Amino acid sequence: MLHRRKPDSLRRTWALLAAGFLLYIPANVMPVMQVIYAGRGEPDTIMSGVKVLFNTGQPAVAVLVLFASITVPMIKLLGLTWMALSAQRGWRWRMRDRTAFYRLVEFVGRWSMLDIFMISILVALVKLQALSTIEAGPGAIWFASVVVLTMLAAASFDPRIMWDVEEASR
Amino acid sequence: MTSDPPAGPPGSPAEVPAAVIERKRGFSLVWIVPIVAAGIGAWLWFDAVQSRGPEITITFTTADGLDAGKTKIRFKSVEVGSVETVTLAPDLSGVVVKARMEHATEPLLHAQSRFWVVRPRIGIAGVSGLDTLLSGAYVEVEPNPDGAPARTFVGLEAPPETPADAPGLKLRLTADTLGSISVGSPVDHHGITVGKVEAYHLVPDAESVAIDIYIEPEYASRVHAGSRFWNASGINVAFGAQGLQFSASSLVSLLAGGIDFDTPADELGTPLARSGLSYHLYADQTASREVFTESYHVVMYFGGSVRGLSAGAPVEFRGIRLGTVISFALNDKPIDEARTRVVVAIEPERIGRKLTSDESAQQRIERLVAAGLRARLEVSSLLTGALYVDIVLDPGTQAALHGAPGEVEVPTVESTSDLIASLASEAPELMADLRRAVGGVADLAVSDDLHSVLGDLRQVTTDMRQTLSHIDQVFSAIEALLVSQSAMQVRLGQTLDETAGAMRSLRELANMLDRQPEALIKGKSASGDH
Repeated sequence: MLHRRKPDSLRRTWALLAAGFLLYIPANVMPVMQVIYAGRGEPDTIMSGVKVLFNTGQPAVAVLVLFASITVPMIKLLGLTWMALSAQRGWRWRMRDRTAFYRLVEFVGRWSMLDIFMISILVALVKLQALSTIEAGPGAIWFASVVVLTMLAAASFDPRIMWDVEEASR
Repeated sequence: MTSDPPAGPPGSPAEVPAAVIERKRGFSLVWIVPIVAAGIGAWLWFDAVQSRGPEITITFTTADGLDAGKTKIRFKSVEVGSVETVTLAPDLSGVVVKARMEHATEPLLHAQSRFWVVRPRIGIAGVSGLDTLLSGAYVEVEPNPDGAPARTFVGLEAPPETPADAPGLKLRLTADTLGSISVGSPVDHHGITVGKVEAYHLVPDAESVAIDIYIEPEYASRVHAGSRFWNASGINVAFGAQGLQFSASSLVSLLAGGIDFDTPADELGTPLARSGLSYHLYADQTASREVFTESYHVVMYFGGSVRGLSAGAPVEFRGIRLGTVISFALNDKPIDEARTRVVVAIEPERIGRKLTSDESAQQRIERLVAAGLRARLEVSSLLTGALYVDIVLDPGTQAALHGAPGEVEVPTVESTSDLIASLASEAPELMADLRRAVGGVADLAVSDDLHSVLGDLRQVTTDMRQTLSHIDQVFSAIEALLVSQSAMQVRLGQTLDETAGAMRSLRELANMLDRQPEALIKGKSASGDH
């Protein structure tokens, strides 16, 4: 079976995006990680973790985490929404740039897993019992789900649909 | 959507079957994904809402250790809520902590529930909250089912020493002073720590201190209604009418203060103590032993000095203690006729007696005073000069009363020391008399009369010697006569026998006179030996 375009592309993209948006909320509200250092530790959400990093004098890391964990998933979700919407409606505005943006989103998407990688590595490595322990929070699952869903959404989106409007108008 | 148009090789168009253009219709399975996501989201939201409990407000004086969003509220080490905001009170008198409790924590939130911040505390009696040194402070709640449900609380500054529902005994002691007792000080019984001091505070409108103590449940049966508590703090050195007394308790008590208790043997029958009972805290063990249910106050007015008298000095009768001096002060008379009003408590139980019911204390004292009961101050120890009140029976003295009409008064007599003092004041006169007497003797010694008397005495001695030599001659003549004449000798023998009898009688008479010279005048005594 052959397909001119990715089958069911827009509908899948929409469905996956919707799921991504829904899970984005618990991913940010629920704690992703709990660092217990010397018996003392509080569960941190992504945003509170960024705050802690910033307050403890690591602004560079804070900006990196903020970018990778908050900005990138948000840009992916919103960007894909915008692209799916424009493709569906047949907008002709800056189609070349939009395609470039799609490529960027698809490329950068995998880096959102940075957080999850970091958490899984830390949880595995830092097992010093009473002295220091890191535990993954429930938010990590939802965050990972968001990242996976946006990647799937980006993969299921077919940028050629955007160009179909040009072909149709010719 | 359209399927791909036929694009077979151009050489064989007829062999290529016409492409079937399909159009997918209906429900796409991919929508299950967002539905599941929505379901998860809804479940998480519902769970969050469900697990949200009431919001409460707690007021503390300081937010030391409290972090908004981080500090937890715990009950029996189980998390039941968390602090959401920490703000200053509008009047800056403290901090207002808003906390979100978890689901179904309403039973913890009653008006009597207590909240306090658990921080590490290090005292002499122990260390508590050490875990919070690393984990950070948390708010502990102790529910109390009494009282209406509440959402606003005032936090405690210090943790209550024991939970309100602890099964042990909670007793209150009242004392004049706190001494070195502090929160956490041990409560000992026969040297074993059975409880501790929970709190203390001044009693409003009373000059005393209330101390709340807790007795462990396994020792609760040791406390009777008649038990006596005393302050066992530190070293106790008493130097009074009883001499030097020294007592020290355990090292912890020495450092942290302590309370000891015991039940006198005759109070063991009293019912077991229950929580809420109030006891008096005696200053020391001696004071706790000398507790008498019956005592009546008697006043005495002493004229002399009471230097050396102290409150607590014994009141004795023939060396047996009857009571205690309560207080003494000058009465309100002008200074030249003022007397010292001494109030003593007579404790009949000290001598194992109870007041008889048909006679009041006043009547009894009045009867005894009529019979000669008097009080006087005596020195109990020459070393310290301490005085005690000695009760004597001296019917010969006049009972001089100085008190108000209603007072139960025992008249006083001059003390021995006062007598000595009055004698000392008469000493110069006495010395003058003595000197005069000695002078008279000396005058007599140098007078001519004495010389003449001595001369006469010498003459008498000479005469007596001559008389004796005469008697000697007479006896020699008699002897010669006796030898020469036998008839006469016989008669003389008889005469001599009679003379011997007479002489014996004379000797007896002399003996009797020696014993009873008055017999010459009064005659022979009936009880005499002769």
